[in-house]
Amino acid sequence: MFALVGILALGGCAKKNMMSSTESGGKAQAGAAATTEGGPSGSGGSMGESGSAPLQGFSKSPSEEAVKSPTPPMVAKADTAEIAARQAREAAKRQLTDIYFAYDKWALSNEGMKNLAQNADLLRQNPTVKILIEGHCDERGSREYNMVLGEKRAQETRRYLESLGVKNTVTVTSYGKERPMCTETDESCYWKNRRAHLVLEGER
Amino acid sequence: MRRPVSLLALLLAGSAVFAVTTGAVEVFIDATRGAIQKIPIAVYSFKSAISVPGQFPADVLKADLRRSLLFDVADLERFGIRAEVNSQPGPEALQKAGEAGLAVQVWGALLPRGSEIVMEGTLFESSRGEVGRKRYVGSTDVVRYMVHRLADEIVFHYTGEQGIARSQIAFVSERDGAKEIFVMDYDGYNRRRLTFDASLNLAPAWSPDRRRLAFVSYRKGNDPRIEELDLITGARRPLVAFPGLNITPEWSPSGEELAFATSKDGNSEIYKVDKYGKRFERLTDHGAADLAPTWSPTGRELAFTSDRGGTPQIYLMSADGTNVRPLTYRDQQGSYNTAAAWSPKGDWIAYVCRDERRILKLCLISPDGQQWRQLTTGSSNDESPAWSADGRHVAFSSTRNGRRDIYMINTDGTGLERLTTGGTSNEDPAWSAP
Repeated sequence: MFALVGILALGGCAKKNMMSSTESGGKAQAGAAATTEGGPSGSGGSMGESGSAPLQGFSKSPSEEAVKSPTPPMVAKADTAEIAARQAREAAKRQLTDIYFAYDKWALSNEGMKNLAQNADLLRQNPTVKILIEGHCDERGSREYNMVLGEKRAQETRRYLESLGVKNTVTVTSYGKERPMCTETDESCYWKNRRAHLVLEGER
Repeated sequence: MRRPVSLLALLLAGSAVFAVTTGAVEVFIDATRGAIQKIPIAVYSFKSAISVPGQFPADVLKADLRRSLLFDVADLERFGIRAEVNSQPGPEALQKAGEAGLAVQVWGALLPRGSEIVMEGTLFESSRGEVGRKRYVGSTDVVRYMVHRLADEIVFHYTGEQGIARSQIAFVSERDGAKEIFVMDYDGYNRRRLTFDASLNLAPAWSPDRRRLAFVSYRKGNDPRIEELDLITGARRPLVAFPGLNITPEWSPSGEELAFATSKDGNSEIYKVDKYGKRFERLTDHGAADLAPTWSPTGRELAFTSDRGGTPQIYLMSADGTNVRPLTYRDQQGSYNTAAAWSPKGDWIAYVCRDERRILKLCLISPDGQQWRQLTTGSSNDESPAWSADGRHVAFSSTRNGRRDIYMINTDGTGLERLTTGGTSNEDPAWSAP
């Protein structure tokens, strides 16, 4: 029904800025392992059931072809327990001073090393605290390459902490440019996103 | 399944000139070549006995035929021909259209049958008469898909190619601070949400049979892993879950293997794994970062991103990891080139290039490095190129309207279309097989 409403609203006007709203239909199925379209299975030839049925060609006396939605509206079940646990973990995190980096670079700046020295003091005094270092990037790199650039920043930060005698368990990860602090398109924002974010993950 | 079609009849009716093999009656439009003469086509309004207006399927069909880049869709009013028809165009209209050079004419009808509808489409050639018909049955929700099938049948009839009107685009949409996987029709309609993780899901990749989507998920914690969602059963399983980053999945053309990058060895390296997620094979071995593999259509080669030369550039290698060589060079293509996508026709590799303003654009380079051009222009960041199966369009994300959304563009830089709205942003498109 949603699709029909969308279709009627759009009839005669193919403007791309008016999208049909089947999405709300999809949302209604959240958490339910969704209805399949029924119908025979395994008859789709090499394309499989989710692919398009093979084209049949034109005929003076065409046979009838049943048309269905292209992919069954199958959604991944939301794992609410998993989401709650993750959010609790996030909330329990404490943060240290962020370490900032130059454009395209993963080497530490002098200021970065100075801030890390302060962090190192704190960590040496609390050797059982686990620490996670997240690498982040500004939006001027491609999303794929920024994933590894963020990881390089996090790894460089870990290396320097270890060189300062930090013995805590340190893990690194990267969010590339997927979780920016800010989204303005100028340097006043970019520098804040080129960072290693240090979080304390609680007692061992 | 290539089916040759006589085009001589079409040529008689119009001024179109195709590459007709000398002496042969049966010819083919070679759709892979650029700049072919388009077939002039008339699309009449569908006769509709249901609540869906007949102009609607006609508009969808016209848009599909235009996007095929094989047809020149005529404005019938300009020739004094009424687009509205009663069951079928009268002999006068058909003749008038033929005289106007419209070699091919199409019309259709929508009829109720119980709770379903029946759509019939007719393909007509001005000099030959009726070629044949199609008859579709389904719910009122699937009228668009009936029309898309009709459009692809027309494309198939004249080219032997599958067409792209039935294809789907998977993408990432940001909602409430989370990034989730969505799917939509190739023209941006019928958007459907697939994940509800309240986390980060990135980089969707279609299996060639359209049954499975691989993507990167952060839902289990700090190490992003590659998961697979079966679109038939809804089953979800981890494919690659090493410690470290597991990113940039890409199915091989056969669907038997998945190439990806992992940092389990300390820095990002490219691996491949069989479709069962069991047998892993390391392809690169270098202290620099190697990532973002893309398969050649034969499956014999891969292009990928590496910063082994100091800045990220595109490299090529054989599918067993040997014969690594650079494709882009800093002094020729600039200091930052990433995210390659190999055209399904094999003729181009699209990638993200960064200009001197530090803005991300899309560029095209031939796999032999001999041809190069910039595909998108302007001051927006354009990213994540993904090819249509016919090799004539590239979907990508762009900030050109202030926010990040998905667009498509023809390989010659024309035909830009916005495909998404809604959410905070939409990005990372992956284009399915037909």
